[in-house]
Amino acid sequence: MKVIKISLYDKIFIIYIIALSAILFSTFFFNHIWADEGTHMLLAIFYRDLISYIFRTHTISFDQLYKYGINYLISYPKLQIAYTPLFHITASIAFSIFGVSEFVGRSISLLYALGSLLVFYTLVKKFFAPKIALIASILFSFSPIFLVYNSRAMMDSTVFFWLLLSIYTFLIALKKNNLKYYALVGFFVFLAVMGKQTGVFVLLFFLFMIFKNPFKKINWNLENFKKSFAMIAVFTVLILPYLFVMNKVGGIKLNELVAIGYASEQGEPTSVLDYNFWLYYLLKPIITSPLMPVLLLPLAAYSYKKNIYWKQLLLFFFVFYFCLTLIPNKEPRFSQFFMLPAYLTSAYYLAKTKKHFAIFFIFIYILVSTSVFLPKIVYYPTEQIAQFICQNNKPGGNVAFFSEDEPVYSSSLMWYTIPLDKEKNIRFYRSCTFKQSSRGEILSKIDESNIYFVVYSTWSNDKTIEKIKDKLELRWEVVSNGYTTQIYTYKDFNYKDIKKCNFICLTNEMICAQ
Amino acid sequence: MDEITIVKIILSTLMFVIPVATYLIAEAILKRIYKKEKGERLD
Repeated sequence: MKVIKISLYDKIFIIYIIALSAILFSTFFFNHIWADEGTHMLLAIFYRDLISYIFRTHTISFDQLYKYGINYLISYPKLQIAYTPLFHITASIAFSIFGVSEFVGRSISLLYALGSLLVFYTLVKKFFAPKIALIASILFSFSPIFLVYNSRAMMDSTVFFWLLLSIYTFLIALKKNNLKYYALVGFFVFLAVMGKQTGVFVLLFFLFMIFKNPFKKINWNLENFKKSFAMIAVFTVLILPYLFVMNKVGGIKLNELVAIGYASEQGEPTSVLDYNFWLYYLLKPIITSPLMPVLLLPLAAYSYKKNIYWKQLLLFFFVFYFCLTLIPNKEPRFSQFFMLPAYLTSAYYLAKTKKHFAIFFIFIYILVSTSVFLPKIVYYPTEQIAQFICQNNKPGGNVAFFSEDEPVYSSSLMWYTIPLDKEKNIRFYRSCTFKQSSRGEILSKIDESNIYFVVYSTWSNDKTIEKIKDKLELRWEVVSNGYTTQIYTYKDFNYKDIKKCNFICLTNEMICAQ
Repeated sequence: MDEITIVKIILSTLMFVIPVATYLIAEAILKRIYKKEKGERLD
């Protein structure tokens, strides 16, 4: 059996990882949950409950499970099954073992992040000096995007872990020239895609590496086709059942709606004739990662000087830059993919430069990251709002949101209500239900939906609530960290035993219990 | 000073200390290895 040697250098890196995780873990206690975190953790609970329902009822009928999902969606209309499920499934397993809490959800994200950092370090160390691997890992782990998103229950670190593992395995496959390794790469890419769809672009990088290695002439020999087939076949066989289920439950249609609808709604450039479309990742991420362009300069210099593996590093950068540019729903945090070679090449030059300059640069780098990361640590008592609602609710009463803004999102309140309302008696209605409705229409929706509590964030631009304010009684005004949330009750609440329905913002339709 | 401000001060201090200390320790180790090997640079 091969014994893995851990050098003194590696031990220092492991201590570094532990110290970093302690920093990020400590922020869990002081952060209120974001809208996306709420959505992801709600989904994790849904998967946990769905699996437990299957075991309890021994049902595998698609119609039954679909009905179960719809009834769940009526209570918590923030469930979005179009997300690839690996993070949620991992979190649901963790919830079953360690209990349901945002600490567990965030820990899963953090563990994947630390795993990806470990693989990144090992990967760089395989081809470069340990000092370069260490500095590259420091740059990667102290990038503002890494700090901000990996201390939250988000899906990003899941894709990074499996993506980096697939790259590591691919490099072993190239060396060993064994088809089994290529099949394993296909499996890891599948897991990366299950983490987030953007992981799929790595297949393009692998295909380039197989056919154009060593980048001189395309090598169309049978051996290369076999390698590609082993990789793609395993990936396809695994992804097809997922796509089949997604298509059946309408997830693919939802993905289209999110990708195209949200892109234009959020003001992202969608026209290829717009220069912002192509330069999006050079301009937009600067707000969260101001030093990003500085880190791209060493990559340019490294490639210009034609240093070792420059073609592979540049290829990885361009594959991800262009593929991520072409997708309609762009996010500044996706820049982390093509920044991986930039961290490496920056570390290469920092390792070569004088110690004082390296320390100075790392110091400035951390200063910038800290100034982005620390202001994002904000606490808001959303949990207390959920407790207040559950304690003071009238029988059959539901909750309506008239805003979907910082700091109390519908998903975060739903998340905190779950442990207090195990029977899912309380339904939540999101602000889109009432938007562009007249006073009469809003009041009739409130009556028909048995709404008792109304939640509104004064930070919001949505002023629909003004139309019915005379019918509401202010019960609690939560003021914390500069944000005000108002909790009202509906004066004319009168419970009616009618069919349970809810409005789904994404599809713009009303769905009812089956 | 409220609790969260104290936490942020401690966190920001640690955020500077941890990577810089890691870098310096690694550098010192490298020097030691370099001295032992007498010649071949590792970086």
